[in-house]
Amino acid sequence: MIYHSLRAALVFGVAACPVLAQDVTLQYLSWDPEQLEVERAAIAEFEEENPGVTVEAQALPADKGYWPKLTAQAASGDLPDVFMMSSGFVQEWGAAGNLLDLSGVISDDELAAYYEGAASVGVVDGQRVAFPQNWVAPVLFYNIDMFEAAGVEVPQPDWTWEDFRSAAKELTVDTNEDGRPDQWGFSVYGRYAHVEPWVFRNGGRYLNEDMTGLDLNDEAKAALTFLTGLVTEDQVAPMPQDMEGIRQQDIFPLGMAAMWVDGSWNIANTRTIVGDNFRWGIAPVPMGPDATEDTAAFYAWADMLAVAKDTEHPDLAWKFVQHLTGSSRSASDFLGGKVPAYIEIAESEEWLETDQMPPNKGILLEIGEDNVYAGFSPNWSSWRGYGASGAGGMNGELDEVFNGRKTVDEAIAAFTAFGNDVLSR
Amino acid sequence: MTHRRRVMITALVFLLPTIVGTLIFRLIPIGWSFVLSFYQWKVFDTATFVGWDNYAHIFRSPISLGVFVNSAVFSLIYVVGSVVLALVLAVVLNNGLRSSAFFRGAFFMPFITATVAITLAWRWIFSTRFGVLNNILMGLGVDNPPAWLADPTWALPAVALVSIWKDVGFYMILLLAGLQTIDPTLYQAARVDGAGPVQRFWKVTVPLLTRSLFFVLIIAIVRSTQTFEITYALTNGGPNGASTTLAFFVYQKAFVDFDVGYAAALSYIMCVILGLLTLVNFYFRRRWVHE
Amino acid sequence: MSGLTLDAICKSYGSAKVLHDISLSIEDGEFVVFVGPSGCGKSTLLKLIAGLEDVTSGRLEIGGRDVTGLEPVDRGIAMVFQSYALYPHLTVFDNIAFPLRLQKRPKDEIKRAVEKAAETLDLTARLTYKPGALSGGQRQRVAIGRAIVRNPQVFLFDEPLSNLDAALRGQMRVELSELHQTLKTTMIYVTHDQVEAMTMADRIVVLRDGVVEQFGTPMQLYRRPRTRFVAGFIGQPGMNFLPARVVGTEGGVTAEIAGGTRISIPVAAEGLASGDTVELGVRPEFLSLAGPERGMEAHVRLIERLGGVSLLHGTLADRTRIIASFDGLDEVPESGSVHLGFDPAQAQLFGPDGLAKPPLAAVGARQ
Repeated sequence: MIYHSLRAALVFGVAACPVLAQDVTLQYLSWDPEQLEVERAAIAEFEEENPGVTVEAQALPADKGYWPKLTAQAASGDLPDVFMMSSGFVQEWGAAGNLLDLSGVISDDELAAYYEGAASVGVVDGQRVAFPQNWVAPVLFYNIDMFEAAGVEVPQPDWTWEDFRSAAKELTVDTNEDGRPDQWGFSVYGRYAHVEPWVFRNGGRYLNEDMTGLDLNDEAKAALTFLTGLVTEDQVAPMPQDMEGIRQQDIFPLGMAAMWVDGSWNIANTRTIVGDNFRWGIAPVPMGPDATEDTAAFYAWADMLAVAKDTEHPDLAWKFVQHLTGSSRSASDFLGGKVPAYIEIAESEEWLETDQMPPNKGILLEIGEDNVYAGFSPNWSSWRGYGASGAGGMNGELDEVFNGRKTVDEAIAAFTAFGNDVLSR
Repeated sequence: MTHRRRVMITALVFLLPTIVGTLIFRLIPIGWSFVLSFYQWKVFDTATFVGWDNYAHIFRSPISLGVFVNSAVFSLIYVVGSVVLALVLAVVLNNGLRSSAFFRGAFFMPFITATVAITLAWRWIFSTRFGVLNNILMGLGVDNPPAWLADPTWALPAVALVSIWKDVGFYMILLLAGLQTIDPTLYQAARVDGAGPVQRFWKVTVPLLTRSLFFVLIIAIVRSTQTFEITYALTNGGPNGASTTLAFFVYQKAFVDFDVGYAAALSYIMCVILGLLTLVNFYFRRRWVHE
Repeated sequence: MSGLTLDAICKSYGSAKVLHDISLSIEDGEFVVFVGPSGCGKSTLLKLIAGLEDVTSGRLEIGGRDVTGLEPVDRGIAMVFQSYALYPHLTVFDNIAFPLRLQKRPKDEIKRAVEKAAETLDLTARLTYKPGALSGGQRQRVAIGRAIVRNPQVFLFDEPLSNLDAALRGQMRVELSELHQTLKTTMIYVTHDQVEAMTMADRIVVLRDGVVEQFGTPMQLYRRPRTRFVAGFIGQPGMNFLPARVVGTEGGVTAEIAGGTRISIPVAAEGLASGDTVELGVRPEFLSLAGPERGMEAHVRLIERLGGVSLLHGTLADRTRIIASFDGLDEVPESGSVHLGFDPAQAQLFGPDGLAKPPLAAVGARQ
């Protein structure tokens, strides 16, 4: 009985094969499971518009296997047709020859519909090897209720660093006078999204001209001195080691600090944790004292999609990329602080979400139209110390300064030497 | 075909899956990674031959030398701590503590509990401002208790502590088994001869336990070099590399920095070090282990 | 003076009482054997004397000193264990030297003492060996050597020969007896083997269920057992017990045994009355072939010929099994029926309470 059923199924399957052979399957790999769920609708739409095309989409979180899997697939020559590519790694992957040059398939008109800054991140050695889906930028989060309680004016776009510092001081409150503030004015660690915004807004740079080594200019050093001083001397922000046990992205939403600089993607998490507890907003990171309008840059980068160089369906793959990044998406697909690279969607009322916190998401759009700088290089994650707390990376060294164990100059010397070593290999 | 031949072929067929599996998943990768250690390869690009560069860099770089030091310190704390503690616990339990079955289970529990669960709990315990440990210390009058996981001085001992806590039950069971092979009348004889409890421990228990102790020592040393999970979940090797030991460093280099040639070179150095340690151990075994 | 006195020693484990009111007085230089079936408490009693366990109540004196509650090492005793308890990781020399080293004696003194003990025990050739390389008998001697070097007031032996094979056991028995003659120290020896007890002891303590059944010389226990248990325990092959009924209590006790035979035993009647059920105890060597008018009829089951002695296994009319021993050269029928008789003066009478009735001569001047 079972034997006959199996045999029938086999015959039927074989007979059905010729029909399937005409269909095309596109592989798509994402590092954001939540976002993939949102994208399912757009993917279904794409499949309808292109009969015979099936998209197999899979998501692996970035810190739980996305990169090792992608790397293994690259090594075996089996990359997905379309996959997410970050600004931090695009240069290495582009140089390795894994990514398809999309310069030929997109026209200038089409290109103009996207933010220029975001699109330029995907250009490596003259080849457009990745296309932006959305971009993000660190902004200054601030707790409106705390400011009003202290009688301090909320951050303004024309704020100086001194304005910021004095506001932070006013907002650091020690109600029971036990030497431990119950409310901090600010919160800062050594990670890239906390530090770089200030450095770049002061006209500072880490890398030398051809990205072969670290050579901090004076503006960068001044910015680092300012930032570390906020913790060690002004004491308006807690030492990272004191906050061990709390996720750093929860400090502001839990109401422990009045201000915080981190990537705009944190808007989603902040909303969840803050709920209705207090009102908050975002502002651009203030321009530094050593910078001019020309040298000051906003730190911003894009989350991109790339096409595998040896994909069997380059046109179809690019069509899919366009579909995911372009006009067919709606504002509600881009959660929280991720700015759509497609200008039209970004500027829509729907994306601005003025009925939610923060009420002034438009700040991000203004940033997007200003001077932006990404500052990535090959091996960026290694010398920046991002992710793994590898010794000698900027992340770890700066945290030592924040924790009062090293001076700024010692840290700079240490991570410059380390970074140069990394970049030279 | 003769009977003998048939038996041989049958045996081979049964062994084949294991042989093939070992070859594909162990032997070939081991040999391959030795070759790899002479290349620089990001896996997603093409490999470049660099000769001894990787090895040279490992011995020059203060970062990797620091990792070797960390590993040595960690191994020392872990091996001494867990073996001594396991011995104490085994002796206490062997002396017929009431409800010793309960304690045996209790001490063994951490060993079989998922590492992730354990490290989550310990992260919370070690938390600088909000952790149980520091709150107790402050209650006892310690003014500025250390930031356990965020202080370079304390991060490595903290990882070692959690590792010891997790593994001591396992070593204790091994030593307990060894203790129970000791003829109890030997203790009576020693008592009649005039040995007090401490003397009985050093003159009867320890010498007769040397076989088990040797075994436990070897296992502890090997395990100490493999420590990874607890580091990963507790401190991620930080702060600033202070709690990075060799196995974790290999992981970082291979799967975070994608510098697999370097990682391969590191792991071969690790292999050589372990081999030497084991040789030393076996040499001294003849001198201090009583059969 | 290194005699021992046990005064009302009791021992309980929790609610279980294992030793009841043991009182003994052992002379200096005596070889006393504690004997009894498994579980009678003899090893426990030895451990109490050694100090390895605490008494629940009672007093213990060694050499006139109250040692109750003292640690073993302070009691002046040395002990040889059943399993010898030699330290397997030490050489013979180190094993014997162990207690002396604990006392921190000077090295040359230790060397002399060990070598002397080794010589006494014929171990000099084996001083560098480890216990694992020795035979059972040699290990036994090392254990004894370790005890000797401590010059104790009392030696304690816990079934030291149980682990040896029969031939070796016989040899070691002799050696231990000779050792006792040489050292002349008080020795307390625990065994379950009544042959060892009979051959080695100056006096024997028979224990059963934590109570002393009898304390006396081997011959006293053999000739005049105080209880039915002692009578049955001592002697190989054991005493025959014939169920009987009292029919008269004048001038001794007249009892009727199987087959109707009536025998008058010269013992005191002591509370016995006609009709009481008693037991007559007769050792196999006191049974002889007799005529039908004086003997009991026994059906022959089996003859065991040991050479010097022949044992006749028979069954009486009331189905009681009986063993009679004869000289090996005597003619003994292999089957069929025989009549066995005995001299009443050689018989014991046990009352319903298990106690032996004392002989008339012992009670008073009668005969």
